[in-house]
Amino acid sequence: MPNIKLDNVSLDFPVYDAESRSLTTSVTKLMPIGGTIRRRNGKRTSILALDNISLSLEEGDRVALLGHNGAGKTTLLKLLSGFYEPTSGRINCNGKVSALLELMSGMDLNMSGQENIILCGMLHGLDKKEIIRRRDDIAEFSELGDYLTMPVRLYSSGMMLRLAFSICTSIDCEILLLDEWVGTGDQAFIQKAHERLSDLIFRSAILVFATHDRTVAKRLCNKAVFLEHGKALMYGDIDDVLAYSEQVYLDSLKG
Amino acid sequence: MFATKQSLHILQAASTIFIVALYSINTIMRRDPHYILDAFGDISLALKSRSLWMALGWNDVRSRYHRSKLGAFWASLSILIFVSALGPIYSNLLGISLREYTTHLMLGLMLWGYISSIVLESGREYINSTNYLVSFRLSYFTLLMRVVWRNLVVFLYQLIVFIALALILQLPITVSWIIAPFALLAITMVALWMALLMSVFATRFRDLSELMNNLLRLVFFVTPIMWIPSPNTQLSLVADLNPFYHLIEVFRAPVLTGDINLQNWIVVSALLFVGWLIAFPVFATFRSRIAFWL
Repeated sequence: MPNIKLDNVSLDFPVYDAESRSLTTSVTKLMPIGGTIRRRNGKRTSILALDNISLSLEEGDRVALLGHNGAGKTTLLKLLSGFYEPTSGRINCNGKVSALLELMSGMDLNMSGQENIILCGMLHGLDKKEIIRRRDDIAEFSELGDYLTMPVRLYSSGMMLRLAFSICTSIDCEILLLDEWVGTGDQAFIQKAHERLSDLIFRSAILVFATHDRTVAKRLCNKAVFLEHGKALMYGDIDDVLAYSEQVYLDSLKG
Repeated sequence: MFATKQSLHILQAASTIFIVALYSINTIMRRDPHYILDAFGDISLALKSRSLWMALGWNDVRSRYHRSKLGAFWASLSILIFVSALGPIYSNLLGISLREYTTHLMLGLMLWGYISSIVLESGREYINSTNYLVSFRLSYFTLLMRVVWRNLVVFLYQLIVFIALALILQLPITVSWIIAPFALLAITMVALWMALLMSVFATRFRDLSELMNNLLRLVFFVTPIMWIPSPNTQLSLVADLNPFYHLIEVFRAPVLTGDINLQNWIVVSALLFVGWLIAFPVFATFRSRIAFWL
């Protein structure tokens, strides 16, 4: 049974190319943007991107990650995908994880659409037979036709997105991690794309979705985490967390 | 002469093993075992995703020679041009027959290129593939295997041309050629631990790539590639103390002369063993930090 468990997970990011003296430290403390920048005498500058997070996700949980820019949403996704390992605390991730963080990643512009389908499929962990089985479906969904034999660098940006989207959404996984990139391509394609994305989401056992868009979050998710300065301020039912974040926003306006 | 050489070897080996033993014990004492297990997992994931690194490595070769008519044969051709220009001059200069010198030079260049490219390119590999590492569940070792594969493809293209050259020059084909694939495997395994160390440290310390680039250029001239050491001279001592010489000779000597030199194999086995004993604990210790250094 797929599940994710985080126990007091922190991620303290070393920064190697920051100026050691800066005025911004005092300023950022007052603003809700970014993780805490830590400058200690004699030690390296670091950013506390995730601060003591404990979460437990079970099958059926579709979790929205909410928060300001730099609150730690994408970092948390990268942690769940296995790219980062926590600097303290423990993470336990059972199930096949797929992270769709950047739509275009893995694409080689000099290769044809067909070749890109195979390469990206392999990068997503599918074996060659499986990709060949799905290739026609991907080609059909992208509606690119004969262009699939052309090098991708000749595509318009909309065509590239179509191809990338068709490939990304054809994968199978138990734990799906999505960063905010929904709503691309022309109108007709967006409609089709949303259906296919929802299909992928409901095929997966667990979804973790970083977003700023409250309506999309409400439509796709049943739970939410509100992050600020890398801390999980609230975790629970989507409506409660949305109400809470609204309150935080209003409070910040009042000062 | 022989006695000093032998004792030097023993001293070198003993001190290395001593340092390694201390280091490994220290590593294991300090870290809990999941670091070691994760590193094993990294390597075994790479071995399982063979088709992926083969595809990535092959694509690298293809895109390097993209749209050129000769494709990867340019790798063979550039060595051939070099050898045919330098061969007649240097063979005269060194007083060696043209056949002996050109085959020696060409194989030496090919093997040197294979080893040094694997080591140097590994230093940039994680940095260049950051977007792959972020988006997909790739192990670091998969990327190193990709580096090995693309260089192996280039090496094999060059080997085709070498065999053609050997046939033209009527180099005797002996039974010892059978050892060549095993020698190449041993060379690759040694290059891999060097790549593993290089990839970890060059990602953290960006000056290392440039430094190694310069160092290896020096080692190239010290290693008998452009020259041939005559036995029992000062020069042969320089060659014998150079691990890269033995690394090249395990492949080159049986192909060119039909001799299998036991000393070469002893040094290469020692390199293989001691190298992995150092490189693996280093990789295990720092593996989880690499993502922060990208």
